[in-house]
Amino acid sequence: MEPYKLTLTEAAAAIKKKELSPLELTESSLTRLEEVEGRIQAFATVTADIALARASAAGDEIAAGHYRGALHGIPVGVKDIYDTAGIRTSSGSRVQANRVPDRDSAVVASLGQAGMIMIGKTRTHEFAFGTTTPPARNPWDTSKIPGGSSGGSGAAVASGSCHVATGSDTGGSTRTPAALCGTVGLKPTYGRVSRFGITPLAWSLDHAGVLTRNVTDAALVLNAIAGYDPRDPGSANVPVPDFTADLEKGVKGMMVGIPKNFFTRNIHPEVAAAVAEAAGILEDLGAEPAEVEIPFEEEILAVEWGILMPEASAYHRRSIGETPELYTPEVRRLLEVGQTILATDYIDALRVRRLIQQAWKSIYQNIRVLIAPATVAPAAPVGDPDFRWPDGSVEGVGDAYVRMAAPANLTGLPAISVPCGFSNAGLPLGLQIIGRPFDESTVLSVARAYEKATNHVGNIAPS
Amino acid sequence: MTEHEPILDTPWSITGTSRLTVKEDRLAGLAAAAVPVHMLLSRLDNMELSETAPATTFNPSWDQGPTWNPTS
Repeated sequence: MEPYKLTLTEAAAAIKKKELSPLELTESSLTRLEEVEGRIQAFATVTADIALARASAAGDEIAAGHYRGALHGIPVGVKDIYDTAGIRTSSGSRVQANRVPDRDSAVVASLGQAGMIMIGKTRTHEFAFGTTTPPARNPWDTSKIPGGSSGGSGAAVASGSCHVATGSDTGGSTRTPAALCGTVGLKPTYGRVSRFGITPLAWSLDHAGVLTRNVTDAALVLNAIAGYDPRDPGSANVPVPDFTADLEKGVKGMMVGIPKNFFTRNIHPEVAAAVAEAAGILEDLGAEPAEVEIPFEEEILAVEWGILMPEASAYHRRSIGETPELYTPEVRRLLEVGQTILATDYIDALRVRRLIQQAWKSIYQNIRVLIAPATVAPAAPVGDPDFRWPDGSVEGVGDAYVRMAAPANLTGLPAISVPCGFSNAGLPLGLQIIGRPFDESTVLSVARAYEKATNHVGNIAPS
Repeated sequence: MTEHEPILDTPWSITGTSRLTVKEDRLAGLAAAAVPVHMLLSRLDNMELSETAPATTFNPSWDQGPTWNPTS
């Protein structure tokens, strides 16, 4: 078997036992990348020479008896909004086409300390403001989008080019590409992982995230990147557990919330069926379902956009005034619209956000996690910006993909997308699990229980 | 709850209040994109918010303090 096909834990075990070298694994990943990259265009920059040098050094270090842990020598893709010292970080935009940071973002530094080998910068929708990530394509069907804004990361992990890739999540930008590409996508609690050195989209909604092939991998990576960082004003100074400790805890006796509204409206029937089946599997494993009414369902998207758009426009205000022609027409228009939003509307959105947070606390008094679709539908065709629902309504692809994700961004709650099957057309579907603040351990354990009970997780898209 | 049509008849009114510099040939497109966003935001107009303060410095914790246990 080619080394890139091994799971992270299999590869790590082989590296630890010196049966596989980081160089062999990295070479295998780069060969796979070369094989698929022409079709899926997941990478903005490939750093093959640097990766091979670092992999060789990692091998020497391990041979000398300095094994750092399960991530040592494992290939990783880094979303192109994460600063990487000496390596171009363009945020997918001509505005920053030649920007080369002089220091690593906090996450990249942590992954480096854990011994991971960066093989390149994965494509992002321009400034993480969108859900389609052109020109990247979905590795399961290249006529479809990979999702976004971390679409390159989703495509890279799903195609086998790397075991792990970083993402960000302001309105689902980690969970959506994970769901559409068939990977695991974890958005930890707001403040759990430092955003230092990540280009912001909307400060009060931005989260660092991670896309992996399976749930255990997500827990291992979270172990490496979680923790307080005073350089990020949103960073939370809370204890950091070992996120692998409770992975096998199971769901027996756990109250699992099943939404009866919001997450059930205008959902593709195959997504709805897959999520219902997943609920049944968790119940078979001993979970106790509890019907939950989602509060403020009519206001959620208004609050998400009412916060996201003005914050994004504030960040770009000076730049877009100076070089508007360097932005794509789509993002330029969004940023201009954001600039028309009144401060009073923004403040009202922040006030309603507080009410939403309080209401979600209430519904979690009786449940430990809530399960829902990760996206409203499988991957949309490239170039088709709208969903047409049976009730006759038409919804833009941006609104549609943000809709399932927004509650966890507004509340800051930890959420994961786990593959839960394929559509009749062969496109991946995603199950979302949302937990209590800073309780990623339970989110991961539920995801792990589901993963073990099915064969939906860990599949690599064929060439 | 009622949704009202925002006053966006004149594109110049948008750019004037937001201090946007937009060439005339782009104004109609900007207005068309802005209207649905402002209509969405108008859903919040009639909410009873009384003394609710904005979540300006967002903290996801439900309970404060280093000893709080999310699994309890």
